[in-house]
Amino acid sequence: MTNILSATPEGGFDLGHGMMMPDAAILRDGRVAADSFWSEAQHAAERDAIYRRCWLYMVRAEDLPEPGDYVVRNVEICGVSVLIVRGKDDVLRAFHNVCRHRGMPVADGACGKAEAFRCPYHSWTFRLDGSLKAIPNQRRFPALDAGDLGLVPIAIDMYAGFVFINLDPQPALSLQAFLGGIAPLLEATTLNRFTHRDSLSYEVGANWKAGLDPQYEGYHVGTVHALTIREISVTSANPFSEFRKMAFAGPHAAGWSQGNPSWRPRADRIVQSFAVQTMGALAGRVAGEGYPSAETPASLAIFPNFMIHPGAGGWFTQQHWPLTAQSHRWTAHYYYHAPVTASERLAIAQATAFGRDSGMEDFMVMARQQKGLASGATDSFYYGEAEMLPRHRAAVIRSVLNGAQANMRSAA
Amino acid sequence: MSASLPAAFADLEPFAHLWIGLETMESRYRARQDMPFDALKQFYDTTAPRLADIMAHLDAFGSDTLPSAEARLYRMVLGLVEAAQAVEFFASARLPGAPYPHDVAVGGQAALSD
Repeated sequence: MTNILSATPEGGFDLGHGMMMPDAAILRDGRVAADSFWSEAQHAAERDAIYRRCWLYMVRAEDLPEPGDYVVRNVEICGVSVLIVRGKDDVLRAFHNVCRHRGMPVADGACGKAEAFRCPYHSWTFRLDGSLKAIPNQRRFPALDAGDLGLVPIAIDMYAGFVFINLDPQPALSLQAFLGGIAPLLEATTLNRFTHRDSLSYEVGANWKAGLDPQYEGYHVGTVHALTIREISVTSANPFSEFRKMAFAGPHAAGWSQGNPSWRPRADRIVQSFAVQTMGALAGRVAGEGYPSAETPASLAIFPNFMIHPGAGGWFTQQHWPLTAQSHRWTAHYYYHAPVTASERLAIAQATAFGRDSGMEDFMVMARQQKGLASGATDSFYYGEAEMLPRHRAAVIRSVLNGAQANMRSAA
Repeated sequence: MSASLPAAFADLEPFAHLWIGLETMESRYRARQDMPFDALKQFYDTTAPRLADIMAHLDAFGSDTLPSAEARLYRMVLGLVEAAQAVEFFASARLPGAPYPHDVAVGGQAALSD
């Protein structure tokens, strides 16, 4: 058994490099090397030891309901374009989105429906199961065996409707083992019942871990979100918006918030008030179907970069994808029950706009933080005890990179 | 200016041209960044108190496709959502300190459907 659920962050974890312990000094002191957020060496090490080894969340299974449905997701830090497609046998498969003739992407756009994938360069055509169907003018490739030239597969697996891939040609761990003790919290989600979705993305001038940090703690809420979320989260009993409970499972973690149970929109905020009231009426119309509960973590963090939260009208998921050492791409999905009336559609538009703007409050801060760290003014920064989720993540990454370096040395 | 909104909301006509041509969340967000705060505030102060009436009118059509005048009215209240973000939270058209202009892509790499 790997990645066991625990109330404390000291538990061992396995990402496929063997069992490791989170870095004890970081767990104890919360002191993290500043260059872990900007150095090219750290970025390359994270690419090789984390993004090329861990299971990475891609898409919901219900986004690909029928044979031929596909999505393309780019794992940009690895330079990989992932094609995920449901076959005629109903099986989900993942492939490198790369033609075996001369390397051209065979699928265009972020998603679609296909009978087959025809390369836009020379029309080599691949079946939904990845096998090569046709080479135009094949007699000019007399030595090639078309049976060996299917799209290159990528490991894919699914848990509770969450589809993950692994760029390791031979993943050391199953998805189930990778998720370990965090799996029941994924099992408890109900995203499939929320069939209306708004999807946003934004490129942020900050390291991907800086992007994750505000999703991992409430400490910043009173300051960064003073104009927006603060009143929803901060109370006199919990002035720093601390989690009431935290749990750790291998590299993963979760935090449960206290919230402000007496929060209502200010009466002079006419549009927000209308939206919140209408969202409540929508919940009544669907009889509270599937909503997150008080037992739902406010932040469910699946290592390395996937977050699941209760949302204004259902659920909210986000990922922070590394681009360069000092930039990342934020992708987010806001899940709602399907609206029927114009009022319900408007309430959803307000909720997504509010989410976008409060997200932008975070992005502005982290882009400035990035410049501060990269200036070299300080050699370290600190996570407090209420920031134990990001502290734990930093301790996990430190150990992974140390271990990976040790392995490379011992292999040399 | 020719009438574009349902007759019951003719008094909001002076604001219609600001929003009814903007079909996407991205374009409305950009328009909000480009508008003076005073213009957003004037639009909000006139339109927000009518919101319940507007939505009651639109909800009467249920899930049916809205007639063209009502569709324009709905587009205008989607503009009100953006104006309200500026007026109700930031007292500013743009988020203080945010790069100008900026776009938050709807869909793209995150897309279900482009």
